[in-house]
Amino acid sequence: MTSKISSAKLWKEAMKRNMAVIVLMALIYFCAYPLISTFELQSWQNWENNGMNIRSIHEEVLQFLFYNPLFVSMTIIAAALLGILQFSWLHSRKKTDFYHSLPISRERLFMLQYVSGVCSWAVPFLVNYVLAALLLSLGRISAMPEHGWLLVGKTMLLHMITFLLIYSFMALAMVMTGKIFVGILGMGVFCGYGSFLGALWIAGLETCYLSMRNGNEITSYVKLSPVYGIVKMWERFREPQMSARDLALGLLLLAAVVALIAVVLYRKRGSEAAGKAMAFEAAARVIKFLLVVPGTVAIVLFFYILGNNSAIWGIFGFLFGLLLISGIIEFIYRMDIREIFRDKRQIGLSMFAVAALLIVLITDPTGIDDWVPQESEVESVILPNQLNYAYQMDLTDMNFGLIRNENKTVGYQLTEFRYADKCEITDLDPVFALLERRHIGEQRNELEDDAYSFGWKMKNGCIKYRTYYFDSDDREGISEFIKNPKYLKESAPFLSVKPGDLLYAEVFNASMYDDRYVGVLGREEALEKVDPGAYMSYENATHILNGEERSREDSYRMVLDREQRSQLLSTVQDAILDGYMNSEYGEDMLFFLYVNENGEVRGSSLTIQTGMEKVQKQLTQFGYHLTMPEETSDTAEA
Amino acid sequence: MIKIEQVSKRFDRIQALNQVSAEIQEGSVYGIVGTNGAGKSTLLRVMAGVLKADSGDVKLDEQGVFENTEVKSEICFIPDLPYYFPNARPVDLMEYYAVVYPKFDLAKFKDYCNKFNLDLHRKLSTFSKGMKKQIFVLLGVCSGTKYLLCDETFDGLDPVVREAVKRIFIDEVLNRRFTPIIASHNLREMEDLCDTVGLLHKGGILFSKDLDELRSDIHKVQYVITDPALEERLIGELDVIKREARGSLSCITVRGSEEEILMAVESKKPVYYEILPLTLEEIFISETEVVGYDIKDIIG
Repeated sequence: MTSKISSAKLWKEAMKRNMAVIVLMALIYFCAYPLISTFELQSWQNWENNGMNIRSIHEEVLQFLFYNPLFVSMTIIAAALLGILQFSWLHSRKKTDFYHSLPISRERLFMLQYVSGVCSWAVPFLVNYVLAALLLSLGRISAMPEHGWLLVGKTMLLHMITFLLIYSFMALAMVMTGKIFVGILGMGVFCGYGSFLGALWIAGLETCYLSMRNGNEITSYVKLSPVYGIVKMWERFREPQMSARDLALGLLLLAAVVALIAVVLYRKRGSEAAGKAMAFEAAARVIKFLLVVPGTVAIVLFFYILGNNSAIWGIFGFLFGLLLISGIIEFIYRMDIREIFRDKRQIGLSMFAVAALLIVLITDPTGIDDWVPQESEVESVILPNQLNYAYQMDLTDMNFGLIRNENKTVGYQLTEFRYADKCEITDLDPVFALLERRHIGEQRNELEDDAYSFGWKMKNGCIKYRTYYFDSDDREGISEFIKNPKYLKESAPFLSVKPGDLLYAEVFNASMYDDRYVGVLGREEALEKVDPGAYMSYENATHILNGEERSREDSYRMVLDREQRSQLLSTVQDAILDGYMNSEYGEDMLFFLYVNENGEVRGSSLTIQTGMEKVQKQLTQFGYHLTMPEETSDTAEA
Repeated sequence: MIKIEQVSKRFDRIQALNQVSAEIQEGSVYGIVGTNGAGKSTLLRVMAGVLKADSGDVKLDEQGVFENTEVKSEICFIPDLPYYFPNARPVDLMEYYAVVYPKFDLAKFKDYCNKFNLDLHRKLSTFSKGMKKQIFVLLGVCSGTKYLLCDETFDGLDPVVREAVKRIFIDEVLNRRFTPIIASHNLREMEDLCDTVGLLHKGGILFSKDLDELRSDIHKVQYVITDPALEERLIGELDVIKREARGSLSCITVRGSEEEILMAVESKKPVYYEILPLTLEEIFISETEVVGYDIKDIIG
């Protein structure tokens, strides 16, 4: 009675079933890759006459063929749809009866469906992608950039990993559920639950604890989503100096683990689960609990905040949220409005769990809200400074902006980051001495106190942010600390820059720009890899704009020459050191590029404030017309 | 042989099967009859390895069926609503079954389709319900498996086709080790075809017997006994399942051997008596009335 069913024949039959999908995928990818490539090639035929150069063509190819978020999205959507298509039979009793009556083991059945789904996407994608690459490299002009075929291989691999990860999660969602729309909801839970929990945790902390109101960490919990992993992988792939390999391998491993879990659960899944919302009764209860509890907490916070921190609204949110979330999930499970409160025991358990969580959060038994680390545990601390966002400059071929002098072209790409994340104070004694003056517990008044965010960089590597409150009448203490030159120089390296380190400086009216545009100067010239030593001999920066950019920009920006920027640098540094806190912001911004002691190009920008009189005077002397608000009595007093 | 040993299966709060036991010999045509909701389809699905029994076991030649691909390769299951691929034609299903059941007889299937006037290259979605059932029965027969489980298969077939299918079944049973197991409400058809019958009721098996043995064990007697006391004595002596009276003519359905019943009746000096043949339907109704399922109560 040995089963002699050929796997190859079974696979062939499975692919026959998927013919419509394969044809559709082939059509879509044909249009997306070879067809568009052909049109692009045609438009590049007269590239010399169109003012293009080979590098700009390569750039366009890079964007189109390798770093294209639209195609990554297509892969994600294809993976989700195929996951549904390949495993939706589990949700039909007729189909389940058919497949489960066949003399094919469940593992084999699962793998057949899994592999045929992958092939149904992979073959059309890979064929058309390679065809496009061939077209681009074998045309009259070789539009493929340097190492193009290596990039082709890497891109195909990353697309495959992206597909496998989403596909595996979708398969798992379909195995765990018995209705397609519940499976889709399940996929949403897989993608968003971790991030939701993390964000809820932060929201809860920020609502309940004054010291957590610094807004620094909430976005970090986005990381708890497989989709974030995919986005990060592609981001790293795009950056030449970063490697996507480790993350790619990690995601591939995750896809394999998820697929394995799906197989194991499928083996245990009863055929009678087809048509039920959830395939596993025990899992359904647990999942409901895991959704009801945080969902209710979220609604409690929502109403509490909406009601201006009113406990009454909080209680309302508690009852309303509990019944709402519980009822919705039960309705999804049973599709019967009469049974939405059927499981009273679980509602009771959820109510108890939410109440316990909220009580713990409110009473703060572990003292999160008043936490200050032990000095021995701290490596350094990040303190607020008076500079606005600073821009980190990286060498890259993907130039957003070009600076060209007579001999060399330097490229940079603007990457925005908070300077506060990079500068660290290691002399901790004054910091802890300052903290002795803080308000504690009920003394704190969010409206009247001055709040400062401290970033504790611990010796174990993690960074913890806390906001501490100080008496606003005691500004002397904090401002003396913040104005301390030693602190300022540690927290704001810009203040240590010498005129000879400056590469570039400009002043512009920020209301006329968005941040990204600040860096866009010119694109006609090719970008070379720049020897960092070249920065030190950089002189006479000139920016090259095309005609349209020049006419738009000349009226509200001014590039400072070497002499001007050297003079302005010391004026700005003095203004910061003199302290111009609490003066009003104008519309004009200064932007500097410099080389730091490590040879790295860094940038800094700051808004010109009403308190920076000497800076304003100097810029006026240079011929720049400032747009400053009128000084109010508050700022005058400061 | 298929052995069903104390099989129970529950769906949420519904006990679909409750300690069902039966033996199905190879080479017999086994009929599963039962009331609505008795558990016939569930039993077949457990036997086909589609469902896993909560307790008990189904064994084919001493090997469990569930997730046993070797054993399942000897079973072909035709559900009441069979599934086919979108836009599938009989030839597509034939090719698929030929892959899944290596002993599938392609030539025989084509021959049967020709005889039944079923176009191999016409889409199944354009077939009538009866024609679809024909296709699946033929697929099942040609799959070469030892056991063919049919759930309500004969419903929807016209009398001519039904007769033809019956003959195919009989031929297969005679020519090879073929054992069809048929679940149906159509007791008249089952009577012609099956030689063993299992009666399911409310998840439990009432009996599983050879049909001839079943008929030999239950009889209908019509009689006229003028003395009421004698009649009552007769009723007391026999295992009476059912009793009806139309005027002086009485009719009883009795369990027991024909000789015993006749002796008992003759001893009461009836004016008239006659033993009548019972149809499977009458046996079915009588047996289920015993356990409280009375058609008269349902239809008033």
